[in-house]
Amino acid sequence: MKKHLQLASWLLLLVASFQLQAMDIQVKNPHVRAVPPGSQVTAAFMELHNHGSEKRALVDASSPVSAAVELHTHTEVDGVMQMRRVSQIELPAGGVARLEPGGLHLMLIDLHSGLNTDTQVEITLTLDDGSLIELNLPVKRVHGHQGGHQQDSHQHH
Amino acid sequence: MKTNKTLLLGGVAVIALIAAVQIWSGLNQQPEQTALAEKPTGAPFTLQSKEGEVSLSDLEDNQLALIFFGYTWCPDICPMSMVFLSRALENLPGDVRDRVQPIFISVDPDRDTPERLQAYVEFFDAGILGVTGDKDYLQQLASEYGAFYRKVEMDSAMEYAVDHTSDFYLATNKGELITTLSHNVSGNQLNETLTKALAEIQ
Repeated sequence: MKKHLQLASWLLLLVASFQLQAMDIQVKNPHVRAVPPGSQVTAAFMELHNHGSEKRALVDASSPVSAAVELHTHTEVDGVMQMRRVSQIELPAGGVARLEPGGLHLMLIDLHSGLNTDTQVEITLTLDDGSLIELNLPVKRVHGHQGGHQQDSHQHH
Repeated sequence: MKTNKTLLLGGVAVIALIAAVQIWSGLNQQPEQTALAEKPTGAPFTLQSKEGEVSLSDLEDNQLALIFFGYTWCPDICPMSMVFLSRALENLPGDVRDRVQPIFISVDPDRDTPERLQAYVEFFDAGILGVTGDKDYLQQLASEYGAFYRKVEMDSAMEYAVDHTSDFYLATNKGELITTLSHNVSGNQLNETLTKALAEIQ
C-alpha cells in the first residue's frame, strides 16, 4: 500500500512538473490537413508561442493515427520545392514558431486510416526539456496561407 | 635546371589532366541541370489513368490542358496547388471552365498507381485527370515542359521525398506549351491567362 502511494505521488509529481514546464508554451490554431482517402501522409500545422523567458525547442511528436510523426520543413531553391526533415524546431523566448503550409510542419507518415474532416487527431509534442504537450487537432481542408480559418483554440497543458 | 623544366612540364600536364577530367565530368552531369535551363516548348503525351490511356489529343481543339507535375505523398505543396486550382476554376464562367482540362501527372509511379491517383484527384472535385506512366517517359516529358523533379533519399519514415517544381503548364491538345504559371500566381491571374488563351484558340 505504501509502495502504491509512493508510486502515485511520484506520478503526480511527474505530471505536475510536466504541466509546470509546458505552461509557457501556447499552441494556437492547430489543425491537420484533410487528405484524399487512401493517403499515406498528411501534415499538421499550428503556431507555438513561447511566453517563457527561456528558449525551448520542439524535438519530437507522436500520434496514434500514424506510424510516425516527424518534423519537416519546405524550402524553395531555384523554383524547386524541397522537403527535408529537421531535428528540431526552435521556440525562441517570447517568440513564436509558425508551422504553416509551404514551410515548417509536422509530417504524419503511414496513416492507419483515412482522416475525415469531422475527426480529431491526437498529437503529443515533446519539447527539449522533456515536457509533453498533448493536443487534439481538428482535421480541416487547408487552402494555404490565405486560408482564413483563423480560429484560436488555445490549448494550455 | 633541366630536371626543373621536366618537373614543371609534368606538373602542368597533371593540372591540365585534372582540369580536363573535371570539365568532362561536369559536362556529363549536365543533363540533370538542363531541365530548367532550356526553353521548354511542351510535348504531346499519352499516359495511364484508372480509366485507361489518356492523350492530350483526346481534348477538343478549343480546349486547353492545365498540367501539374506532382506526387500524392507530397503532403503540402501538391494538395495546396490542387485546392488553389480547383477554387480558381470554380470562379470561371461555365463555358470557359468547360474548355479547361486540369491534369495531375504523378512523377512517382512507384507509389501512385492509376487507382490511387483517381482517389486523390477526385478529392479536389475539379474534374482533374490523374495520370502517370513509365519513369523515363515521365522524366523526358517533364523536361519538355520545363518541370524538374528528383527523388531524394531521406532519413525518414518516408524513405524518400521528391524535390519538384510546382508550376502549372497551360498547353494545347497538340502539346504546345502556351505559358507556365508559377505556383505563386493569384486566382485572378490564372483566370485572366486562361480566358485570354482560350479566346485565342476559339
